[in-house]
This record gives sequence, C-alpha cells and structure tokens, in this order.
Amino acid sequence: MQIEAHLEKFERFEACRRQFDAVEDFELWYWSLLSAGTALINGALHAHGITRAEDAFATQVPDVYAVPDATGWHHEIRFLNDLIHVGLPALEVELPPALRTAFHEMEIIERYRDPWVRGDQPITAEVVTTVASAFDRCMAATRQALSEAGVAP
Amino acid sequence: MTPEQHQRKAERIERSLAKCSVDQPEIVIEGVMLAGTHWFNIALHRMGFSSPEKDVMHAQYLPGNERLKLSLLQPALLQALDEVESFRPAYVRGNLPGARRAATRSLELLNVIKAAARRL
Repeated sequence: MQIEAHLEKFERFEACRRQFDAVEDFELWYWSLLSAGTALINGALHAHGITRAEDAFATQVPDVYAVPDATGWHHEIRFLNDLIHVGLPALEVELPPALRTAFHEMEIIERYRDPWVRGDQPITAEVVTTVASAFDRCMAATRQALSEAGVAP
Repeated sequence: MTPEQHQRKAERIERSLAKCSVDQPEIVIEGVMLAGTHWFNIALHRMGFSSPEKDVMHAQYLPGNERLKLSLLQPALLQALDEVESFRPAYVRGNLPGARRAATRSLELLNVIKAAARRL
C-alpha cells in the first residue's frame, strides 16, 4: 500500500484497540495492536525505500499480493512490497537503527500471537504489560524512522 | 487444543466482536477470521481430520488432499472460512472500497461456520 494508507490503517486499528479491555478482550486488543504496528512499520519501510509503496496488498502467502483491477483484484507475485508480519517475508538488507529496534520489539510482540490468540495460554496483566510496553517502544522507534525519512507520523 | 478449549476461545472473541461495528471492518473481518478458525478447528477435531495436538491456522494451509476431502464432506464450512480469508488482503491489509459490506458478510459467514461445527 501507499505510505499514507498505512498511516491511516495504523490510526484505524489504534481506534479499535482503545475500545477493548486489554485482558477481557485480549485477542482483539492484541490483534489491533499487532495490525497497527505492522501497518506503521510497513509505512516506515516504504519511506526508507527498503520496500516499495504500491497498490498491492499482502495475502497470507509471502510474495503473493492482491492487486486491484477493473473487476476487483487478482493475485500477482511481487517482491519487496508490504510485509505480512515482521520477518515475513524476510528482508535481506541492513535496516536503519530505528527500524532495527522496531523489528526487535515487534518480534517480542509476535511471540504472543499464536500461543495466546490462536492457542490457550493464560491471559494475565503481566502478559498485557509486556506486550503493551514492547508496542510503545516499537512505535516510538518506528515514528523516529518515519521522521528520519521525512514523513510526519 | 480440545474442542472445548476452542469453543471457549471462540466465544471470548465473539464477545469482543460484539463491541465492534461494521464501520470498523478491519477488526470485524479479523475477529471473524480468528473466532471462525477456532470453530473450524472444532469441526476438524470432531471429524477426526486433526487431533487436538494439531490445530490449523488457515484453511488454505491444509494439504490439497485434505482440502479436497473437506470440500466434499463440509463444503459450506470450508467455503465460508475461505470467503472470510479472501476479504483480508483487499479490506484489512488493503483499502479497496466495499469493506463495510465485507464485514457484514463476514459476520454472516461466522454463523455458517459455527452452525457447521455445532452439527458435528
């Protein structure tokens, strides 16, 4: 997607997250946070020219994108477009320091995805604090990366 | 996870979904995908397709032979989850017009998936 569209997605997912109780609604609270963070990171990667801002949307299969056309959309193989998750697909490039930090923090967040959302690990205040703290650090680093690339987050 | 664990998880997500509106299509579609996948796993476990030790995260990741068999045994179940998944690139990770309609449809599809799982 284009950078502005990623920033808009970030805001939309954050608005969703605010309506959830972090423990009672952990699954969708977490999913909103994960999606918001991934959107902002995609925007920052585009802003740095590491990945391409195009009208192509990530599918569940790495390197397969949904590309709009006159009748809706079709699949295409593309490379270095939006990430589905941090590390998916993997980027074989050196990241700027701020984005390295953002990726590191997002990797902490991602550890909670399958065991706590798709699985049945106990949802505790400690889990919420760990995820929320990593998200705050991740977003601070991503905003810094956007600023360094001349994009106002 | 066992079918009982999946059901508890699906119902938690559905309670959270009830706080959302189709004007928030991204999280509605994602919530339906998450809850629907728990119901999908209930169906797979009850049908003996997979054991509680082996959950499926996405229907499209099923091997071709299992997808074919499931499409013949439970066509509505598989088609419904596939349709929800088909909305994600365009409306969750993308910004094509029609997201609100897709969110409304996703909620209908969740009922189809649940009904199929409950019949087993």
